[in-house]
Amino acid sequence: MIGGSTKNGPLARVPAGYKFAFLFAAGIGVYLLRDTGAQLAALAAALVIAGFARVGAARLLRAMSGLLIIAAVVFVTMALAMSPSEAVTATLRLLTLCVLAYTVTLTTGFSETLDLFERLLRPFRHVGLNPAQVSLALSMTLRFIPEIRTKYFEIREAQHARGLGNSPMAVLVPLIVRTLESASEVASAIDARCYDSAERGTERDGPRRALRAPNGSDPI
Amino acid sequence: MSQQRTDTTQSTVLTAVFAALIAALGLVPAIAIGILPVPITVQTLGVMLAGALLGPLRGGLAATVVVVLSIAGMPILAGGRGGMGVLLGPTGGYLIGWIPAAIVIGLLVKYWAIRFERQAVRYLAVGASVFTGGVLVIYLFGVPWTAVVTGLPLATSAIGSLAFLPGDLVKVVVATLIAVNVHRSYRRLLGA
Repeated sequence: MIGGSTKNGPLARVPAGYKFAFLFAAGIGVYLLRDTGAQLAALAAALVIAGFARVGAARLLRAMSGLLIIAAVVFVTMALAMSPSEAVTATLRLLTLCVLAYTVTLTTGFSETLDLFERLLRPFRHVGLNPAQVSLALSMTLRFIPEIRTKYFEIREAQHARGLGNSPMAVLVPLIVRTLESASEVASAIDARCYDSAERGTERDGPRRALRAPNGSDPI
Repeated sequence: MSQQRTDTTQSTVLTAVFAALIAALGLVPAIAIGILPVPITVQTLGVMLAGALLGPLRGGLAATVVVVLSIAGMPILAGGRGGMGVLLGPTGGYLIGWIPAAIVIGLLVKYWAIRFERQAVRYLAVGASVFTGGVLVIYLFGVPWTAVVTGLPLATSAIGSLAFLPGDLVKVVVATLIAVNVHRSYRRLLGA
């Protein structure tokens, strides 16, 4: 299992739509705060929300570790290039927003988020974007990621044996050819089973349900 | 109707497997390439290939699928990153830029570069297409995004992005070689 989210805590029960709407509003809000005191208050509020969501300081820190390094680089660069106060403003803004963003991600189930995206995409079906096709593509992608990763390591090992292990071309060209071949096999398999993804709505949840793990958790 | 359905399914599957390829390339260890001192991650290479091999529509959709899945919280970006934090962070523009990058590469390769008969000219044209989309377009989104999110001046952000240029140029060359070779064996890939 990679990813996943905390399924307990009060924020996990808030519908994904509200959380993303709040994040969107907060994203605009933090740019309107200019005063350092207000910004510190916003960061404190974000941390309180993260604590309220029972995300756990360790998980939040792990998710944000890469970001903290970038934030440090930004702080130093800005302090040198402009002024220390501007550096403080930018860094606080960045941290506030990212604490909120990671809290939303960690408290929202992956399939819940995808459902939200599919709902948001629904109006686009009038311009030819078929929700069933979108659903099929998203779930198939998740299914294929570990497979392609395995294939990559197989091919790399084989090319190592031939003394070509360090050549990206020798690894990537066979990987792509094999990927294209499996794509056409899968496409004919789907057509042979008459999964009519061109028809609107009928078997919408078919492939997704099949790909979900039996315990109802996220795939992969 | 049946033929059309087959084509739709084929396109959807190609979009999905290429999206998976982009994601999987972010999960493999960085590849050491001869002349560069540091290993480079090959995820943007996948984006370049999606555009160059599948054309603007399916390539763009493959990039969109990866962006959507990563924003939804799948840790499929290089280094196991993912989630809204990446989008709202300083490097978010480089992620969003993948979508127009794949579209631009797809348009240029499909309607211009791949039509050259002479081998050398075709390599150069595909290379120029991949560079335009995979470097210029991505930086066009990434550099201002970093500047806005961090408040750094645009020039500083642009100079900072130059650190990625050598690695990106190597990726352009590799993507070009792969794309021309794969198109030679799969002529119908762009549906031309």
